[in-house]
Amino acid sequence: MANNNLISLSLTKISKKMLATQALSEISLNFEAGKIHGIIGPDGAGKTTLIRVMAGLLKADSGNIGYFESDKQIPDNLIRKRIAYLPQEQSLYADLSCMEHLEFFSNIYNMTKKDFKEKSTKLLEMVGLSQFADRKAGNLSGGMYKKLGVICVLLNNPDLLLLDEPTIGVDPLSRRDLWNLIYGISNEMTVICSTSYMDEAEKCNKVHILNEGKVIASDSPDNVKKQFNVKKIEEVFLV
Amino acid sequence: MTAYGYGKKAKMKETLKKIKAIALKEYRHIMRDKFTLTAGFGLPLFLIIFFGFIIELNYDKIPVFVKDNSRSAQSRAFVQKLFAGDLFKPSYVSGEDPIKYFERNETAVFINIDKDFGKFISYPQNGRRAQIQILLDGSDNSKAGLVLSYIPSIISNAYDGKQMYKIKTRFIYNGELNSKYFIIPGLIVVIIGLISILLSSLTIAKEWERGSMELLLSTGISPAEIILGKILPYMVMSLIATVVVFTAAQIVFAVPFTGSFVFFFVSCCVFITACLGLGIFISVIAKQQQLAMLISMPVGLLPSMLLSGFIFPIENMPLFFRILTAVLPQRWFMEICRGTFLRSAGFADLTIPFFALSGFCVFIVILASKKFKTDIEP
Repeated sequence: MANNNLISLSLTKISKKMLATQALSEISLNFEAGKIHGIIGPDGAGKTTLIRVMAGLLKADSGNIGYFESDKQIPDNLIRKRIAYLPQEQSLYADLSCMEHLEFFSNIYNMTKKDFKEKSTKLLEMVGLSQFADRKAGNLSGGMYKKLGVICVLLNNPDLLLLDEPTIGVDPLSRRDLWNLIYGISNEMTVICSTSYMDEAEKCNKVHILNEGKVIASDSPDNVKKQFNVKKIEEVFLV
Repeated sequence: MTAYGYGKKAKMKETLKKIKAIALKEYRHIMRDKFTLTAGFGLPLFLIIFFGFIIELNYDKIPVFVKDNSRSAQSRAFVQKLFAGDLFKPSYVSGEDPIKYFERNETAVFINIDKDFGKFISYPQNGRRAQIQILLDGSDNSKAGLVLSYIPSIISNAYDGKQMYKIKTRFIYNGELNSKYFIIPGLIVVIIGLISILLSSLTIAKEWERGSMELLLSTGISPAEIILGKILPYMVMSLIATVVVFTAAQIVFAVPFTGSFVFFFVSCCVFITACLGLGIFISVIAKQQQLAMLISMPVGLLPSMLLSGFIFPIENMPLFFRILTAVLPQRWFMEICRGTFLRSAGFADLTIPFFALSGFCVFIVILASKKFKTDIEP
């Protein structure tokens, strides 16, 4: 079912210094609602810093960030509950099972038991983890672990999903599954996903290419390739 | 030199070179790590100063309450002789039942001078001599023992060894001067305090270290929710530990409990919350389990052992340390623990320790919440 509360984002001249490194330099980007956005760039390009700024976990040194719903700005105090964020690093509890994770996050999100039961069953099925519901996160494979992370944050029915390199360290099959999952939910929310795998850029509706903290391109994958006159996105960095 | 000998020498040279490389690498780690540098060079200086001031086994200015029923020149002269040195700090009282002073832990020694003291000290009649009664708080057996040995010798010296008086001694609590009665309730404070601080000091640091804090913070959960949520299970664990220690004190060491269970239980809850709050505060600041552990060990152990009155009397400490003890939950719970165990003291007698403990508890939980970072800024 399509979500009518989709969130769009507008970043204006966002700069952020992390200790001595200028991680972001005057980043201005627009993220249209209801699309899959890829933040693409090599290691150290500023992808994680940008995602963390959008998630409200880092404060920009300068610039503005606006969250909109049907062109109407959403107040800062209301936005956090509508965003879901999955960090790049392992952030689950190795000693808790999949179901215990879902139960924990459902309580954090203040869900009713009925909602939790329905949603958790649906999400576990969607990612193929139903039969592993009692398996501890520490015993899951890399792909399963990431899928569990994604469904934990999806429990809250977010309108904006921020994923920081969800496919890093994941085998090709699990990468495909994760992208299928992202496609499956993309009509319900705006998805912003960072990745250093250039081939994944092709899977996004729009790509925002970062290098050394600066935006070097922001358009659909085809338009970006045309702009740089290349056949593959990774060739952008060779131009 | 044989080929074998040369090989052995070369091998030794190689080993030394490797050792040197490791030592150099370690030296660089140490010189770049402020914590190790502080621990290596600052800690010895701190410890020598700290222990030097705290470890004071000589008693000085022990508060003594005197009730002079005689109100005679002889009784005043007697008191003057008795308190000529610095060992005791006398205060004259009248009226109130002496037991009340002990219940409120205002003094450990009470001297009751008989109303006929003036008459009989000068002229003993029919074998009747001047009488003084010494009431001692036996719950602090070391102090009681010291007072018991000092007072008669001081009086004897004052009257040139003449037996012109009769001393009656009465222990208010712990008449057998059983040191276990003094030590075990104190140990409860040390053990529960250490366990609570240690357990909780790792919990937030663990979240930071394993990366789960970032995910948790992104959910918009508040610091107070995280802190209180973290405290609750450890609270239950610490209370179970308290029951175990309490039961051991009763069954294994046969230490009597004479006070109110309800007041003791409520105080335990406040003390445990204060210690858990302190542990959480350490965890919030440290963000690394190893560092949190390194900080929580001395913070959990040293104040309990040295600054709570467990071994060394607070009144003998320098002014700075006496003031410092006022902000330590262990000091106040020590008073409550010993008071409820041995002196039948209740809330009315331990109001100040209870409120001081509660104040610290509220303060440290608020401080930990305020210090809790809701972002991941470096």
